[in-house]
Amino acid sequence: MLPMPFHNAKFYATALLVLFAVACKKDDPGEDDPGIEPEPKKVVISFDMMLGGEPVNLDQSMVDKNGQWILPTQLKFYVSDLTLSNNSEQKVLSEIELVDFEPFNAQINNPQWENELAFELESGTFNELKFSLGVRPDLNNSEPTDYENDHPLSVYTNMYWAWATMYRFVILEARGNQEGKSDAAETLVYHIGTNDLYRPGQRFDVDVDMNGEGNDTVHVEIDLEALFDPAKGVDFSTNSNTHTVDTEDDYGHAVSFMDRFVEVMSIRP
Amino acid sequence: MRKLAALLIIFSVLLFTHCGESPKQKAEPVEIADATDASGDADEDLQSPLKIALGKKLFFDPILSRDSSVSCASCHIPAYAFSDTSALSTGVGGLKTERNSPSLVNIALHPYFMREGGNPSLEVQVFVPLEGENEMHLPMGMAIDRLKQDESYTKLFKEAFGKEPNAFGITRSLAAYERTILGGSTRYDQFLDGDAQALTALERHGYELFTSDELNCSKCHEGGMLSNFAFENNGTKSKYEDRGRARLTLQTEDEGKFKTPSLRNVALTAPYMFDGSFKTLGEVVDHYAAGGQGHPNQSELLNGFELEQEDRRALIAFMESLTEEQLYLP
Repeated sequence: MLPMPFHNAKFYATALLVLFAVACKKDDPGEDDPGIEPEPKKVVISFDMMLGGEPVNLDQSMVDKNGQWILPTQLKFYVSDLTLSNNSEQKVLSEIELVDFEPFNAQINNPQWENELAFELESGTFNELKFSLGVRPDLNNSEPTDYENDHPLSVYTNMYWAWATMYRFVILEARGNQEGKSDAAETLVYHIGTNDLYRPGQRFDVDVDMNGEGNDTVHVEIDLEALFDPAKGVDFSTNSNTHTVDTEDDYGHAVSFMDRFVEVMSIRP
Repeated sequence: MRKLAALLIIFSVLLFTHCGESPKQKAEPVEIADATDASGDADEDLQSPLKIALGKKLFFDPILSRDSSVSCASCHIPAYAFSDTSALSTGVGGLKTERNSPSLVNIALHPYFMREGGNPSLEVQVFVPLEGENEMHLPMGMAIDRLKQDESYTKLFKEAFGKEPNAFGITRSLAAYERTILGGSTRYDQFLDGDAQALTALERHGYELFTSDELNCSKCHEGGMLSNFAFENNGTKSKYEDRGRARLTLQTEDEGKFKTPSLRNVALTAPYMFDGSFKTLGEVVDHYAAGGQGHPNQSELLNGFELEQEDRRALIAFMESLTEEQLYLP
């Protein structure tokens, strides 16, 4: 004959409840189940076009402080040897990246590039961001068919100058009118390349801290208003179109553009 | 008197036997054998029959132009030594190309490509007309997508390269086909091989003029390829809108310099010069006789000369003998 408790229905009900509670206790992630890992931390380098102090996208126009109507339609450029550093170490984030402001199009199956570059970085504090503008000369000599489709130097970037076996460093195309008249705008085309226009070692003070939780973002602003400032920058009434090498004037215009393009980059506070 | 007559006879015999001898500059006949790459090592795998056949199909297919209206063969017509008959060719949308279409015969033997010599690779050169806005205007990425959607091409690429259509396969197959466009059967070649009768008397006289120090033609158009492939300013213009080699080097001294073209098949490749501005070989001869337009970078070899009408005819006749009687094509 069984002991008294086993004749009691309440006993069995209670036992069932206890068993149920123990069995359904939620596992603590990361302790008993090593298969689930947290997302790696990333540093994001975001290149932002600015007009009138405000971020703008392609096909977004405005009249700048000089009364010029400007509508950027295409902007893409290469940055090389993207590096974060502090007093004691350097972290090379990437050898070469293509920055492209074309919005992501889900209808397109081929590789696309963005204006935000994200890199895994678990820890460290960094006070300097460094990169070169353009394609490093040794890479500039390479061939697009050597690269996988999603590589920044692949055929899908449409940056290759096959006639000279090198890459365009910057493509900026826009519509503009210096009197603020959108209906009288002219087309502005700047295709910049050749090793002479490679601009190495651009340095910016930053404050990146990866020791906390979550990602950190550095905003590199490209001030289009300063770029097209007629007095200090590219005066598109005299310099509206260059492919760098077609004429002697072309090259001079390309140099002016590239030098100014570098100058108008800054880090958002 | 008899001694004098004997001396005259001996001298005449000597003169007669030396008249037909080769001039100081003897051109070497081009050796046409297997398809090899003058600008690199021959790669037997890249010259496989499957790759060549694929390249040939692509070469003649307008699928590689944005609106499917032009193919490589539209500007490189076999009957015209793979050149065409326009000063500037017509690309997609009726746009004109920037320069005259060059012949592709023996292109495998060129050390570099494009008239300013900016491209050392026949494979990479494929990008230029393919993506050129006034040529075929089809970005390589779009070309790949288009071929992937074609079952027959996907099958051919897999057979030739083991992969679906991609940039490597497109460039390598087209170059493989182009390397097979070879010639070496002109009457001039036969003449250099020792068949004195291969050229008519008029053509032989033209050859002598061509290789003379007075005209200097063979100083640049030398050897079996009738080109030294150097970059020269031949005084076509007094001022050049097209910078030529300076476009690549950015050097003022290279303004107006272009790759010396081969004169093989020159009778088939009118019009002439980088911009097709001379319609006939007669105009070309007259240009050199006049000593060029006098651009500061003009070659020192252009000094002008005088030609009797008969000499002019002979020079042109010689150049017409440079036409291939047969092309070695797959």
